Amino acid sequence: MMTEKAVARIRVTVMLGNSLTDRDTLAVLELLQPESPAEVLGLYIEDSELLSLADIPVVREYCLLTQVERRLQAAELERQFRAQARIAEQALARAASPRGYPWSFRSLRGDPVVLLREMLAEVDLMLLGAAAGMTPATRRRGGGAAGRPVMAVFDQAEPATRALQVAMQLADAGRTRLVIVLTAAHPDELPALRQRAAGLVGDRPAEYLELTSRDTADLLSQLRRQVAGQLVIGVPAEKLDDETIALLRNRSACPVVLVR
Amino acid sequence: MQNIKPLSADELYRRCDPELLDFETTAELEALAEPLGQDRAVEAMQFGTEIQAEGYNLYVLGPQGSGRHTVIRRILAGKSAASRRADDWCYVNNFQDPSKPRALRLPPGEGVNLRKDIDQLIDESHTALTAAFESNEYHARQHAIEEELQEYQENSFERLQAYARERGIKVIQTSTGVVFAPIRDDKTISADEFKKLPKDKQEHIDAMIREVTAEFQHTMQSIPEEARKTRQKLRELDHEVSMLAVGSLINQLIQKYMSLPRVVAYLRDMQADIVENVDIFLKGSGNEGTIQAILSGGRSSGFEQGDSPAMRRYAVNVIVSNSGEEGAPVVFENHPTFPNLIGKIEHMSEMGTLITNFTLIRPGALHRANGGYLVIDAAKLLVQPFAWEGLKRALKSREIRTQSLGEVLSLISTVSLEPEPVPLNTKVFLVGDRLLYYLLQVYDPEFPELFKVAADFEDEFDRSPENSRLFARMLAMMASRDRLRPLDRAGTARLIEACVREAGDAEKISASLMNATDLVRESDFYAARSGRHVIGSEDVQQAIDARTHRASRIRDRLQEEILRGTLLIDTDGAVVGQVNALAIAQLGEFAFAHPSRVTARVALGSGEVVDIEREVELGGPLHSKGVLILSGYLSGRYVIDRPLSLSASLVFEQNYSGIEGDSASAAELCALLSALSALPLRQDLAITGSISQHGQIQAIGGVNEKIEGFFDICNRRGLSGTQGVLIPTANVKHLMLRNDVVEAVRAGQFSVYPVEDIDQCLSLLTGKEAGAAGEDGQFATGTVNALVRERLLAFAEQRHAFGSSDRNGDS
Repeated sequence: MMTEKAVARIRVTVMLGNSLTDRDTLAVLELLQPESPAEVLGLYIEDSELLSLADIPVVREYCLLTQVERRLQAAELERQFRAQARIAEQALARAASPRGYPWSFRSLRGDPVVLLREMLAEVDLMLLGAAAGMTPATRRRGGGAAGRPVMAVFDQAEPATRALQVAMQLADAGRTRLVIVLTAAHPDELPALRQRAAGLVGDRPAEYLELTSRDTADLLSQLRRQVAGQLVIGVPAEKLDDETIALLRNRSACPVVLVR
Repeated sequence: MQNIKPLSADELYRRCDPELLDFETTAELEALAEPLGQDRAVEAMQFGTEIQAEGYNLYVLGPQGSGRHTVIRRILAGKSAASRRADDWCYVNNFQDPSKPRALRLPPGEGVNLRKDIDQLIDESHTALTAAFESNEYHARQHAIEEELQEYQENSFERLQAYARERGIKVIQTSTGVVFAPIRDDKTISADEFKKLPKDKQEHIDAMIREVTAEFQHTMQSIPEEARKTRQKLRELDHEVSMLAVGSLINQLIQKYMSLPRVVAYLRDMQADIVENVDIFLKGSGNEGTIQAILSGGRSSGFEQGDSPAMRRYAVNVIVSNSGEEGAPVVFENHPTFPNLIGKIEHMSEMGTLITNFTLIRPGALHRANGGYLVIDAAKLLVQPFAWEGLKRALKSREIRTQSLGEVLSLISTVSLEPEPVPLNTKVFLVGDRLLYYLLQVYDPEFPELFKVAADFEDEFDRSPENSRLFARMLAMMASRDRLRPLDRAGTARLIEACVREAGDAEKISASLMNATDLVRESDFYAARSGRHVIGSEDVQQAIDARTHRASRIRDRLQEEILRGTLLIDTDGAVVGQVNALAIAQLGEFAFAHPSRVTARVALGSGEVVDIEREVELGGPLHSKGVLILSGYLSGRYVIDRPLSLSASLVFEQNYSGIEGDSASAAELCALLSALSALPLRQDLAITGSISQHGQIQAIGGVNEKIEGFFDICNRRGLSGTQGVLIPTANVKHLMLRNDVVEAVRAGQFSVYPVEDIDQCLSLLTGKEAGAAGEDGQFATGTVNALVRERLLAFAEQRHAFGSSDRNGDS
């Protein structure tokens, strides 16, 4: 009788859909070197809110590229969704295939925040792209995340340890600095938190920042000041509220790795 | 009858007395490096090399093998050693206009140093710039600048969102832009809800959306300006960091090359360019963007793998380096094509396109010889398309303007370069023969302007005892240089004699070093074959005989046909109107002569002597001149008071290939006078010499070959003792006859008669007194001249009689 040894695969979901930022998001995927085999799900969300707005005659879209104003039309919006999903799928294939990751791609329609929250409950890692911003980014020497530090949020929660491990891995693979943001409700908790983080980091050089606010906006400001290349946050699914998800999705200056 | 004495055997060959040579073998002699007898040419070359005025280039003219190159090498070696080393030349990128590379002049040896310094600078700049741009300080400042823009954008967006919210509008970001949607209780309203709204409410929302859109557009218009300011700040930051990183490195080089303003200017431009193009240092050393790198001045020589774009852009193309030289350069260009002289711009094929850059500029001989001397063979230069024009243009403009030939001729339209011209200061030596020199003088008006000094090499020099001894030293040099056996005294003497014979004059020695060198080599060969350690006279003689044998096939066939009676030549008896002339043939290096029968026929006529060779265009102008002189001689000497009333024809029998020269004019006159006098001419004699209008016998060329040519025929038929050759007295000094001829004369079997005028010739050839004119102009009865005069008078009378009867008949 044959015995099958089940091999647990790490489930990674990559949120895609903006060609300006997808490349950086997928670059994070390439840097990930999970000890266990990983399977990757590419996710594209068709924003149902936009579709519902399409039938309102006074609603207009202002195109940032051409600076032309036009009516939002449902049929055209559908075509755009399909085209973006196709581009995102191709980009995922180029990133995942060479690394041997089994991958799949899904296109869902709904409220992006709600869908992300739901998806987060089912995966081990989720990658979110940086916010696109109002205009194409100004030039960055070296391009992408190269040379920019990996920032990890470290708090009392249990997933923070895993998040720090993922951040260390990304920093090693990208040969870049590791910045650990120690987050606690009270300043008294920070020394112990730091000691715990240092124990996990070992000899690896790391910089520490302390944050006593639980506000995601403050975290994102810190992220921008450090010009980080990736932000790694450990989150139990139930703790990530819709507002936080929306902020991370719309305001982050770099790709975000959510670790459960 | 005049008694004309034949020459003695000793007069036919002037031996070189071995006793004059005070050595046992040439190994004892100090080598004489300089060719003999070329004082005039050497002096001209000294003058030409020393004078610094414009256009004083040299044309070294003279026969092949006269030692022109040897003298040039020796003189230039001395001049070069005494002169300062020439400067180095480099081409570098012109950052303002890459199609016009800059030329840099550096002190000798410094070109390579500059290249090394700049290679090192680029290498260090790589490190310094990479470190600077990867530093935390740089990143902090860069991100601070970028953050400023980011903050501006976010603040603008937040302000806009607030503005929109106040108007009941939500700003939603999409992947391509933003959507402005109406909200109620912070939530977007659906299409159904919107439709249920009253019309005025819908219009109000529409107005609000338009207002928000207008505000958004206004905000968006300010962002590019902010972005431009950010980019400017980033550029200034890059500039500042770059200057800091490479400034000190370049300043060190500027200090080092402070005495060279153009190099300093280049280094300053380079610094500015590095700062402007710092990205090429930070993109690694791959070969990416090859075309762009090349077009912007990439290193070509090879496009070495691993060369960074920076290495290519800032390469130093050292086209002339005099680092290893001692003194001024001396360049012998053996293949003087246009590109080999002027230089060239190579192209490379890249993805089907021909591309080039400043590192593909290749130097020509003029570049290498700049500041020194350039030696070119004139004939080789003139046969190369456009090479002569290119050289003249460079000499006239005193600068080397490197262009591809295709570009000069507008044959190609490929993008090419226009390198900065290099100032030219070179003394050019053209080496060629005399004909070329005089043709250039006549047909090229620029030639006399550019080549003002002619160094004319002698064909021969005086045969004095001193010169013979010096010549022996020169032979010693040849033997030593070519690692040949030394010559003993007899061998040396025989070799000198051979060179005297080569000169065609017993009082001269040929200046042809090539001939002498070859003879020494060939003599050495026979000495080796005979197992001798020293070259003796027998080895030299063997070499001469073998050389003659190798070259004499045509001569032997010709003589054979005479002996077989195919070519009609009598060597005994006497015939009216027929004489043996002597014609010379030059086949390559080998000259030989053979007898040729000249005949004359006379009849009553109007006084014209017809040269049949001329009529059929087999005779050259000199030959025709000789014949035309005969008419003047006849009328002037014999019938000065009557019209010359004969018709005569002269012909070289069995001549099918043309004849040139006037050396047979004496023979032709003898044949004509024989025909007139009806006196037969001896066929055992041959005659050579040109005739003057007064009947004097003048010198001719090739006297030795001519005597030997007739001797060979007589000898092979059997010498009768009466046979011989009449030669101009003026040619006696040229005699260096073969030993067998000399010995035949010594034995009384053959004779050589020196003659000064036609009467002596007639006496010898007819055996009768020629007859001198008395005071009354009459010749003694029975003499050759009297018979000629009588015949001519008879012709005149007959012609007169014909003329009278014609006139009577007419009336």
